[in-house]
Amino acid sequence: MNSIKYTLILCLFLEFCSCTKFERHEETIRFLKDEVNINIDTMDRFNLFILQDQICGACTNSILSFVYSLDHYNSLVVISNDNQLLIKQLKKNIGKSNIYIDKNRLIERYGLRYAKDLVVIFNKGELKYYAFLKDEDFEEIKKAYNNF
Amino acid sequence: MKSFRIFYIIIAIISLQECKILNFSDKQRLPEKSQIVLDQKIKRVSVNTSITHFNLFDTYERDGNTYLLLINKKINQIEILNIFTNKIIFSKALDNIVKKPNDYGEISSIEFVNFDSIFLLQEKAITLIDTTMEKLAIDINKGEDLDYSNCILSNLDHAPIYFNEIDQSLSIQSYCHTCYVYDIRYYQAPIHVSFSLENHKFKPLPIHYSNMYLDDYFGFHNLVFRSEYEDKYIVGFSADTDFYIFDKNAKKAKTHNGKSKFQLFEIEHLKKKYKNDSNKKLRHLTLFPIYKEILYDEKRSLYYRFLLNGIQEKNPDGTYNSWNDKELILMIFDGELKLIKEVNLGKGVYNSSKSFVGDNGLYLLHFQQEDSLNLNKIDYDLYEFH
Repeated sequence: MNSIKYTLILCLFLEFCSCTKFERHEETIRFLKDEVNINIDTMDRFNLFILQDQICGACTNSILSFVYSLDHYNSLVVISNDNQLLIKQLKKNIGKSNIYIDKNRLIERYGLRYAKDLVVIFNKGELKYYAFLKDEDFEEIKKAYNNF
Repeated sequence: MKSFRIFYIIIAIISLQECKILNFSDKQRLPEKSQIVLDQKIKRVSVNTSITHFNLFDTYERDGNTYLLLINKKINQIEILNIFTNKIIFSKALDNIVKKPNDYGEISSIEFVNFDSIFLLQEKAITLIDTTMEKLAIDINKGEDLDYSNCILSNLDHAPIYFNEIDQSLSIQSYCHTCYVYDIRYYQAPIHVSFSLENHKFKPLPIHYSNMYLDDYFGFHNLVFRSEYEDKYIVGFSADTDFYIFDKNAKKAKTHNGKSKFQLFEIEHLKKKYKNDSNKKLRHLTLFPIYKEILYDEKRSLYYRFLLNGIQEKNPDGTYNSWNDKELILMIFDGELKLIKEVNLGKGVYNSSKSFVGDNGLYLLHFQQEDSLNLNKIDYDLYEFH
């Protein structure tokens, strides 16, 4: 009886840990709605990638390869206008319609400038998962990405 | 006997507390004011160049002309311009005169001594070139120096190399590459060395990270700013309101108060638990004030210090502030390091990291607007102080 109780507590604890709220949840939804004209409420599944290509150490080759390796149905990759070569490469790998070029650095106004590249997954309007892209977490992120 | 011991302990604690309070208030105070009154004139100087975006630069003055050397690593181009005649006098592909980046690493600094002597610092070599060829190459950073095998010589962006003619040496920034950046050993290691071009050995130079970095952790807010001149070198740290000048003749270092009256709030340290959280470290650097370059104007005996001010993270309308919302402040000190005045240079107008002092004054580089990138020119505002 006790072991069931402890297992339940442990499960609840793990669930709590895995569901840390994304601090820019509201801002992300507002950014998509007001700037990109995407209303995630109407979509079954939506993946948002914000590549921090202006930050040293972000948007590396390994991160780009990882992003390219994922399925991009209902995906949007946000990128700055600074690196034309990278934009060309992205268009080739994931398709022009899946890219938003943030010419006016709007992500900063929505508090979405980070040191690490970001992936956020929505399902039926709800934020299901988010992660900062790090080489050591690729496997875990891919698993989550394919599960939702 | 016991009560005496307790008494001494209490006295010791009170003394320590007082020291703390004294240090604290020292950091609060503003620099002593100078009696000098300065007038300023601002003149736009546009320079024709095919390198509108450059990574590295240096200047050289001769016969009343200011020559500007620019390097763009991405398009692999080096160019020398005469600012007064507004002519490009030399333009060449970098790889024809520089060691291959794949083998020797990226160039992190240049020193434009004259047309016959241009020093380049790469990860694994110091090269001396002229405008046509390599004249001397010295391998570095091989870890062969037993005393300083942990030291890497490199410019981490804000400490360009300097050639000392008298002892034929180069001053180069250094850091401990085997230390974690949150480890106190990183901040105890030499921040710059004198590298002899004759025997290829180096020795640490006086002035280390200031004590505040030994006491607390500042994450990315640990930038070193260094500039050097014939008789002195100047060192500042991004989170430190003070700056430090080493007088080469007197062989003495002095601390100077360089706090700006515009500084919005005190620079707080970062909790060490965030040592591996680059998002937290970037946010900390973005929000707090950053003390930047300190330049010396030899002709006018003036010191210029830049401050990129702090910002509030969020505005009342729910939008967030970012790097471009930070105001750039110029502080001007007289030859005795008394503050003459401070000028608010606005937000996102000038790039202090690519500004310099020329014969006519302080050249502040305008940030390039995206639509002007193809115009083949760069714009400076020349601040002439009289």
